[in-house]
Amino acid sequence: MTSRMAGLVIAGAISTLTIKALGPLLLGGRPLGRRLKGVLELMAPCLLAALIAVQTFTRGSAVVLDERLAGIAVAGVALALRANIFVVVVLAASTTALLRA
Amino acid sequence: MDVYRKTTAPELRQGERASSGVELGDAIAERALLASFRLLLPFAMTLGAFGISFGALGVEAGVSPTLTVVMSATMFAGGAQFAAVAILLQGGSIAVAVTAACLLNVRFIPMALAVSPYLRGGWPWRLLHSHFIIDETWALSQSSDGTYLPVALRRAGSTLWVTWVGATLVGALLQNSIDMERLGLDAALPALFLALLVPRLRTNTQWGVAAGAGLLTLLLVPAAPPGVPILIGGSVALLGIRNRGAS
Repeated sequence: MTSRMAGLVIAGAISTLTIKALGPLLLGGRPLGRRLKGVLELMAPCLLAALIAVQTFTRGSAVVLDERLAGIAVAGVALALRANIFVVVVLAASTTALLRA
Repeated sequence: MDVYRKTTAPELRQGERASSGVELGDAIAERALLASFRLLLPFAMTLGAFGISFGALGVEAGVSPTLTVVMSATMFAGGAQFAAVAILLQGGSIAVAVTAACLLNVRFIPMALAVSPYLRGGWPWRLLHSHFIIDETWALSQSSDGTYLPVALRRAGSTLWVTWVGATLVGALLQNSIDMERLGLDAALPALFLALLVPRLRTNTQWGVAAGAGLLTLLLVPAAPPGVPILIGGSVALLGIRNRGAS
């Protein structure tokens, strides 16, 4: 059992380290081409939106609407009012928790 | 810009002391980040809660407390770690667990690629930076003009890495998970990402691709394995090819 788990940890570590290091090790500090740069500039909004979508609207492989949506909506309003990020997170969590109570 | 120039002058020396060959950009980032340990706090707290949960879940899945902590230290990728351990708990094989972890991690390839041109130094130094890349640190290290600041990545990365590993240790030892749902903490993470997204929605293009990416991701969630929808949703950014070519 222990060696099986050690296998998981080693394989997980090697694969993750490799995936994360791929770009920086192969590309080094070389500048990116214009086209690639244009793509990567749009990556932050795209990936962040994708992460928010998954973490707000899904449970496993199902798309669901639940209390989290209210929490995120409150967070959105707080952000629009330029609230501190700490306040935003506390509001999102407490709104979600209250609706579940 | 003028504001920066006025306020960063005294901090330049601090920056020079902190690391040799420091650039102006680094000095500005350093100044911004000195103020931003406060900014990191909500990230550290949320990650800490998830870390405790992960530590407890890992031990429950039969991974020893030591190996669970080693996993957090070497992978530093919450989503992939949770997925791998959850698959073991469901009786899945190591191969399936590692494959799922890889799929969830694939998005780090384009993220690290974006940071790449800004990293200086030899490969161990670049490797350290790439290891610090998670969704949060990657977004935090991007400055308002779209460039990446290695010093910001280091600071956010080291802070959140220590938090993640320490919290995993606590969870593994206590073997007592936090009820994330009862506390609404499952909404804390998307709220953090929303806080990171909002400043990046200044142009119509940014709004458009973000909305498109979110929708496409949701459409794919029922059909594709976890991690893949995020990657494909993120690939909406490919529209940037045309965007840059036109200007």
